[in-house]
Formats: sequence, C-alpha cells, structure tokens
Amino acid sequence: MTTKYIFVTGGVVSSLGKGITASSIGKLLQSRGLQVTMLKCDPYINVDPGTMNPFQHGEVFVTEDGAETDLDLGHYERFLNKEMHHFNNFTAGKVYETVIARERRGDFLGTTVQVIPHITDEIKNRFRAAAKGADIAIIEIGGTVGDIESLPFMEAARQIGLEAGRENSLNVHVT
Amino acid sequence: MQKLREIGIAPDVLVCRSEKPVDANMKAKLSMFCSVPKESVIEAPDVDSIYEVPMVFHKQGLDDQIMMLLRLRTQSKDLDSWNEVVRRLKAPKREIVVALAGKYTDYKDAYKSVNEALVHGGIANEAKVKIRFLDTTDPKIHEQLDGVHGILVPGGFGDRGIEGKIRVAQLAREKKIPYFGLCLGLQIAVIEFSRNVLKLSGAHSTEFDQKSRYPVIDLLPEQKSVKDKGATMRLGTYECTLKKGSLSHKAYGTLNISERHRHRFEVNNKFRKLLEDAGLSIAGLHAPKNLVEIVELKDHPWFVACQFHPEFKSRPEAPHPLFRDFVSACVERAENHVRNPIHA
Repeated sequence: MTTKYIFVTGGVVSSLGKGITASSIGKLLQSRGLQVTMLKCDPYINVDPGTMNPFQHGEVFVTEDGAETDLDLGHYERFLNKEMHHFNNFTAGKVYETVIARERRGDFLGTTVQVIPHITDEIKNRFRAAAKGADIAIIEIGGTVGDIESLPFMEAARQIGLEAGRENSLNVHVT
Repeated sequence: MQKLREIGIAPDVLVCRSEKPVDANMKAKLSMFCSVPKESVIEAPDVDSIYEVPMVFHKQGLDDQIMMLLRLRTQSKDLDSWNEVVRRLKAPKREIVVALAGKYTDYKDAYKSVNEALVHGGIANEAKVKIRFLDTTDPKIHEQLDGVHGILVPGGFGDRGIEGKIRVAQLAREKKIPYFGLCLGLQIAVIEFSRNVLKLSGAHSTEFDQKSRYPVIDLLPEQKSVKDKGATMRLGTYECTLKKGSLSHKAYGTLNISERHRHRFEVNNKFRKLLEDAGLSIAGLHAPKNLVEIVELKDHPWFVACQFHPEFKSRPEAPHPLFRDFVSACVERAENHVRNPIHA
C-alpha cells in the first residue's frame, strides 16, 4: 500500500492540543489495523531541542536511539505504544545544516541554493524517509500557520499533497 | 484559515479546541465559513485526561471520516485495551499525593513524561496520583511534605534548589517515605547519603562544587574531553544488570534490562565501596563500563534511584514497572494511615 499522509497544522497558540490531536488520530487509525507512524517538524533554527530551556520549550524527550526530541514524541509513543526514532522529529535547523553541508561538498554544482526548492526538497525527503513502510504517516507541523519559520514546511506539505494525490493526503487543521 | 488558503492548503478536517461545547449550529457555521463538510468539523472540548481524546474523536466519527477521505477500508476496530485504560483512570479506588521536587514548578510540561508515568503507575494500582510541586528553594521545605505519600526527585540541571532536594531526600530516608530518584534524583540521594550517613561533610557533585573534598558524583570519564553542548551527553539506550533480590529486580521480574539515558555526571566509583559498606545497595550496573545505574536503600519501604530515565518508556497500556511499584508503595503508605507530620 502507498503511504498516505495526514498533515496536522495549528491556527492558534502553539501546541494547544495539536500533539494530542495528532496522537489521538494515530491511535484511532492504529486500532483499525493500520501501520501508523508519526513525525513532528519544528520550525525553529536550533538543530535539536537538546540545548533548549525546558521552562520555555517543555521536556526534552529521549528516544531509544538516543535522539533529543520534542516532547510531542512522548505523546506519540504513549498513545501508539510504539517506539519513535531520531527521524520522527526534525527542526528547520537540522534541515539547513544538511543543505549547507551539501552545498559545501559541492553537491549543488554551482547553482544558487534557495529555500524553494532546496530547503523544501530536503524537508520532503525527510517526510518520505520517516513515512517509509507505514500505511499512514501523520506529520505534525510545529508553530502556527503564518509564522515565517513554518512557511517552508507548509510548502513542502502542499507539494507532497499534490504529488500523492487527493486520496493519499489529508489536511487536519486544529484551531 | 485564510493564511492556510494563501499557502495553498485547504483543510479537509477542522478540529476545534474549545472550553465550551460546540453545538450543531456552530459546527454548521464553521463548516460554511471554512469550507469543510459538517461531518469533518470535530469538537475537541477540555477533558479530564488526555487519554480520553481518541474516544471523543471516535464518537464524532472522525476515524470513519478519515478512512473515507483516504479511501481506506479495514474491518478491525480494536480499542479494548485503550478503553480499559480510560475506565481505570476515571474510576480510581484510592488517591495518593506524590511530592515532585523539581526546578520548573510553574511549567508542568517540563516534566511531561514523569507526570504521565505517574498517571500510568496510578492506572496499574487503580489510584489517582496527585502531584504536589515543591518549591525546593524554600528553607522550610519539610512543611511542604505534610500529607505526602511519596517523594520523587526528577532529572535536572543547574544548582538552584539543590540543597532543598538533598534535604527532601534525607527526610525520605529518615522518615521512611517512598523515594524515587530519576537521574539527578539518584545523584541527590548519593550526595545526601554520603553527607549524613558516611559523614563526609561537604560531599557533592563536581557539577555543583568543583572543589568538593568528596566528589561522590563526577563527570563521566568519556565526557572529560567534550566541549560542545549539543547532543554530546550519554544518550539513549544502555543495558543494565540488576542485583538479585533487589526492589528493582522485583519490579522488572528480570535481571537484564535496558533503559534510556541523558546525563554527563555519574556516581564516582572511588566512593562505591564506602557507600555499599554503609548500606546503600548498588542494585543496577552497566557492566561494560562499570557504571552505577541504580541505588537502593535497605530497611526502607521503597527507596529506589536510577541514573536513567524510566519515564520515557512508560505507556498507559504498559505502565513502567518502577513507576508501578513506586505508586504501589505510596498506596501502601496511604492505606496504613502513616501520616506522621514531618518535623525538621
């Protein structure tokens, strides 16, 4: 079965129930016998939340494979009763780090490296990598719609939706 | 909504967080203005427990709606074990109070997994676990412990409130209150034991006092050359061997476990023999590198402190054994009406 994507976005104050909404949808679809995986993208520039103040950002959740991740991954594991990995959470900082390292290696053969398509392509690659092997990939986009930082993630979500087709992609907006 | 459309994304499902119920009228209005079918406007009211949310959505047909939109068809629908979790949560037979000696008392998300793991421990014992956040900078911290059935010291960094946490660990040891230390909570227990049982005055962690005469907690050897702060701690899963007959062995029911870690500091092996001889049991060890993973106290109802973070592996459908047994020890204390006021 081709993987189907569910994107979860938020319209009001950050994280107000978005993680729980995404996890609950995951739980319901899992109960239907589907293989569900979850992904959280965080639009900030920190490479991971490991160095961030828990007072502002909440707990740092540590995965089995030793990644320091967003606390929503804790909800995913608890609701789905399933282990998450380092690829189930990434930040804008991580995406930029990868793209810039590739640019330094010369991978882009002299082209101008831009948000569209280079950053958005890297985001799409990470969506696909995390979704691999699952029936359903639920992708929660951190922050709120309209934030400058989240724009490349929204654009990547829109493109994936278009490529996957109507029946294979769904947008859930929490407001 | 407008901004979402600007980006070119049309929502298929609208989930509305609301303190007040969203009635049919409101749903119709939202449906019209957001151009989402009525069946796909889903209400997400405030609930007592986050674990009720899947059922709240299910009752509104959200899963059927998603299955239809994604052209999915499966027969099975199995939420039995989840429903049992919610049932137990909603009908606790008893209530206990756990004191949490942390640093970020005003922002509960800072200890999300610990809070949830305590809830899971409650599910296993059919108990409601009330958490009392302690102000560890309060010199009269013992007064905050009145009526608590257990004490938990979670992981943390920075030296604010450290002396308060050490005091709390001492009270737990002396007054036989169930104690559960996680990461820093283990280090606190070791410092307290060294100072007050071994009489090593000034014993400390080199994280907080680099010149301590008795550095009972010290940087992991592999950490000594680490300069960068990002992703450089001892992170992720490591194995641990338990001591036969220990509280931890009893909890896990096996001698070989693996747990998740996130730390730079560790029990200083130079003091291990001293600690053990004085009655602090080393109940868990990471044998390949000879690192202390768990300490326990004998002659105490339940005193377990671990260097790892068991909270990350606890699930509502599979409560973590240490959280289960800690809550069970708290329940026992509550039911025996042990309610001695705690004096300094």
